Amino acid sequence: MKRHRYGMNLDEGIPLQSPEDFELLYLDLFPQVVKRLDAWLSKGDGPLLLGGQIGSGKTTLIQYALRTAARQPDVVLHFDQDSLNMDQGDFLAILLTGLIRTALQHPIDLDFCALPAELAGLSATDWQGLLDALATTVVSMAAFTQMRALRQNIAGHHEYIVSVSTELGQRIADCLGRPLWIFASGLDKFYPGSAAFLSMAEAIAILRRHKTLFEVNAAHLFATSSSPLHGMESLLIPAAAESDITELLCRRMGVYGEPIRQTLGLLAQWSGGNPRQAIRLLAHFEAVRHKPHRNLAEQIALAIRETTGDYFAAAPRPSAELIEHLAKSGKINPAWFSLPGDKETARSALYGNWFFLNAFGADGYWAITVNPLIRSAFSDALPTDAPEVRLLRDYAQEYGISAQGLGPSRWDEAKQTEKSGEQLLWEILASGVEHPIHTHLTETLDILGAALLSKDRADRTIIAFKNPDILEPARAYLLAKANSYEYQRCEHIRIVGNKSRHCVSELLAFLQQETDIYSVEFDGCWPVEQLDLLDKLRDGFLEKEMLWWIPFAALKTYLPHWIQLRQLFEVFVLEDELLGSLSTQDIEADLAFFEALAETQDSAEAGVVANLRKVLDYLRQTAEAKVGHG
Amino acid sequence: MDKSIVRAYLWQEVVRLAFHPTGKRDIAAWIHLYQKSLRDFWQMSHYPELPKVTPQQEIKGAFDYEQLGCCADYTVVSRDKFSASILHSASAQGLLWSHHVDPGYFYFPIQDFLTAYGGLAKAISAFGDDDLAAVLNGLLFHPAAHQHIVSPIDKHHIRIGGGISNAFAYLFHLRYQLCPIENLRKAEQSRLLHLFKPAIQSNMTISAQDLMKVPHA
Repeated sequence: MKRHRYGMNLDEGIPLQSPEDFELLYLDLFPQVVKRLDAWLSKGDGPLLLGGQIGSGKTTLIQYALRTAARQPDVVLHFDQDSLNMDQGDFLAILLTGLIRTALQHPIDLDFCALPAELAGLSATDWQGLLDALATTVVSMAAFTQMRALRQNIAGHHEYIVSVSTELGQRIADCLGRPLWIFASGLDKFYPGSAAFLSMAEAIAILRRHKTLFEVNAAHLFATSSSPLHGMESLLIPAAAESDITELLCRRMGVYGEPIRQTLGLLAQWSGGNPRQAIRLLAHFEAVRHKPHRNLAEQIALAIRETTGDYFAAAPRPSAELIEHLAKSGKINPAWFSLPGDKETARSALYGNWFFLNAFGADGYWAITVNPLIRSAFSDALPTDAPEVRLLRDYAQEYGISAQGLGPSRWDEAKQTEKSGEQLLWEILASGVEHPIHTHLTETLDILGAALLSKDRADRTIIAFKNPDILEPARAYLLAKANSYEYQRCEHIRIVGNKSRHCVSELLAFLQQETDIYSVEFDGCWPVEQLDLLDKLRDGFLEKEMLWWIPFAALKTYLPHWIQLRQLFEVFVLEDELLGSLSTQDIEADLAFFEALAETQDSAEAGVVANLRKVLDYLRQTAEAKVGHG
Repeated sequence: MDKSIVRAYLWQEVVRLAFHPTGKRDIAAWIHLYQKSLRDFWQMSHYPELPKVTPQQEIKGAFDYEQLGCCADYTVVSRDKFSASILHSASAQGLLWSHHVDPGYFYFPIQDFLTAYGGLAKAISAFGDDDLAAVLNGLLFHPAAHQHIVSPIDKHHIRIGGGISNAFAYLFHLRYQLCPIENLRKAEQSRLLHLFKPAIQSNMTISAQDLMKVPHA
C-alpha cells in the first residue's frame, strides 16, 4: 500500500506489512506481549495461541515480531484467504498444501505413500504436480474445478489425509532436526461456535503437535476442554492505553496530527483501546470535516455514528442484562465465556467487540470496558424490571394468575438485604412450582436448555452427538424444561433419511406447524440430493428457531453439502458442552446422589433419574478415557 | 547581459512554457490535473472535488484544507482573468479575501519591453542555475510581495503572492505554499529546477502532467 511519508495515512486498519509501513506507523503498544512472543520464537518448542479481539493489532504485532525473528516459519498457512465458508476438506487441503510445499524444499523421502496418484491421478511420485493442483494460481474454470474436486476428495478421505499430514510433519521435523515451526494465521476469523470451527478440529490437532503459532480471536483463548485449542500456552493482546491510541492517531495524521492532538484524544476515548476502531473513527472524522457547517462536536458525533454503523451492522447483539452488568461492574468472570450454549452471550459479545478486555485481576476476573460505541445503544433499551420479576410476570400471565403478590418477598429478613435473582428463583421453585432435582448435571442441562431454548434467541442450532444413548435422555430433559420454564412451545420430529423417502418434504411439512421451536432429529442416512436440496432452501429457515440433532460422524459428511446452510447455524457437540462444564468430581457426586435417590423415589421422576444416570455414566466413561490418554 | 535582465527573460519563459495553456480544453485539463495532484502533494486522505465548467465557459474549482483551517475556491476565465477566494477559518474572525486579476485595467507590460529589447536568445544562452532558482523563488516559492497566513502547523510559512497575475502560476504557487511538509517543499524546488532548465534551453512546453508530478521526499 502506498504510504504518505509525512502526511495522512488513513486506511481501514489494514495490518502493517512493509518496512515503510513499520517505519512510518508502527507503535509498540504491547511491549510485554512482544517480549513474550520473542521469547517463544527463540526458545519455544510447543504451540502458542496468540489471541486478541478484532482490530486489536494481532497481525501487525506478529509481522513485527517475525521481522526480527532469528528464524522465519518453515510453514505458513493462511486459513482466511480462501473464503470464510469452509469445510473440513478446505482446512485439511490448506494444511496439506503447506506441508507438501515445505517438504519439497528439503531432502525428504516422500515414498511412504502414493498420495499424488491416490488424490489427483498423477504419478505416485509427482508431489510437485499435486502441490500445483492444490495451490493452483491458474485462473481458469478447469483449474478451480480440479481444486474443488481435490478438496472434496480430501474431505471424503479425511482420516487418511490426517495420517499423511501427520507423517509429513514428522518427517520434516526429523529432517530439520528441530521442532517444525508453523505459523497458522486466520483462525481468528472463525467464531468458536461455528460450523467452520468445528470443521477445522482435525487440522488443529495436527498443528498442535508442532511449534505452531496460532493467530486466534480472544474468544478462542477461553476454550473449554473439548475445544481443539484447549490446553495450549496462550498470549492475549489486551486493549491499548488511551494515551497510546492518541499517539497512534497522531502518527496516522502525520504533520497534521499535532495541531489537533486534543481532538485525537477525544477520538481515542471512543476507541475503547482498539486500534482499528480508533483508525476508523479517525477516517470517518476526516471525511466529515469536509462537510460544511459542522462544528467539532457534530463532526465527532457523525464519525461515531458512521463507525458504529460499520461495526455493528451485522453483529449479533448480546443480551442487555449482560451489558448492563458489565457496565456497572467493569469486570467479567472468565467462566462465562465457556458456559454451555454461551448462555450469557459473553463469548459472542467478546468475539464481536461489544466489550474490550483490559487486564486480568488478582480476583480472577477480567477488567473490561464496554465498547464506548455501543453504550448508548443499550442504556435506553435496558429493562426497568429485573429478570426475575419479568419471569414471575410471564409465569403469571401464562397461567392466568394475578402477578400481584406472586412469588416470595424480595427482602431477606435474615440478612437484611435485598435477595438476589438466583435466590428468588430458587424460592419460587421450592415453593411448589416445581421440585427440581438439583445436581451439577441438571444445572448444566438447565443452562444449556436456557441458552438453546430461549424465546429471545431467533437463531438455529445444530446439536451434534457422539453417543445416541445419551441423546434421548438429554433431549427429553431439555425439551421438558422448554415447556415449563421458558413459556414457549416446542415440537419435535425424528426424520429417518432414506433414498426412498422425501425427507425434505417431511421437514417442510413439520415446519408449517404453529410452534415456537422446531426440534428435528436427523436419523438414518440422508441422501446427497436431499442434503443439497436443504441447502438451496436455506432462506426458508431464516425466520424459524430450530434445533437440529445430528450424529457427529454424519454431521461431518453433511456440512460440505450445506455451503449456505451452515452459515445459519451455531454448532454444539452435546458431550463436549456437558463435559466442558462438569468435572470428574461433579459427575461422581451426581452419580452418588442418584444412587441414593433411587432408593427413595418411585414417582414419575424415577424415569428422569434413570435417564440422567445414563448420561452421567457415559460422561464418566468419556472423562476417564480422556484422562487415560493424557 | 545584466543578471536582472536575464532573470526577467527567464521569468517570462517559465510562465510561457508551463503556465500558458490555450484553448478551453487545455485550460480545463490543466486545472483538472492540478486539483487531482493536491491530495498527493499535500499527502491528504481525500481528493478535492474536481473542477466544473460553467455555461459561461469559466472553470470553477475549490478545495478544503481543514487541516490548515482554510478553504479556497477559484474561477478561471483565461490566463490573465481569474479570481480566487480564500477563507481562513484558523484566525478568530474567519477572514476571507479574494485575489482578482482583471485584464481590463492597465498592467505593466513587461513582455512588450522584453520583446523590444530583443535579448531573449542571449539571456537563454547566459542563464545559470542560480538565475533560474531566483526566478522560481520570486514567482512561486517566495514572492517578493506576499501576505503571510498563519498556519496551525509548526514552522509552516505560507506566503501568498500579491502580484501574480497569471491564473495558473497563482494556483500552482498555492499548491506549494499550502504544503506544510518542509522536505517535500525542498524536493519540489529541486524538481522544478531540473524540469524547467532543459525546457527553457530547448524551448519545449512543459506538459501539465509533468508539471503536476509529486516529488519523492
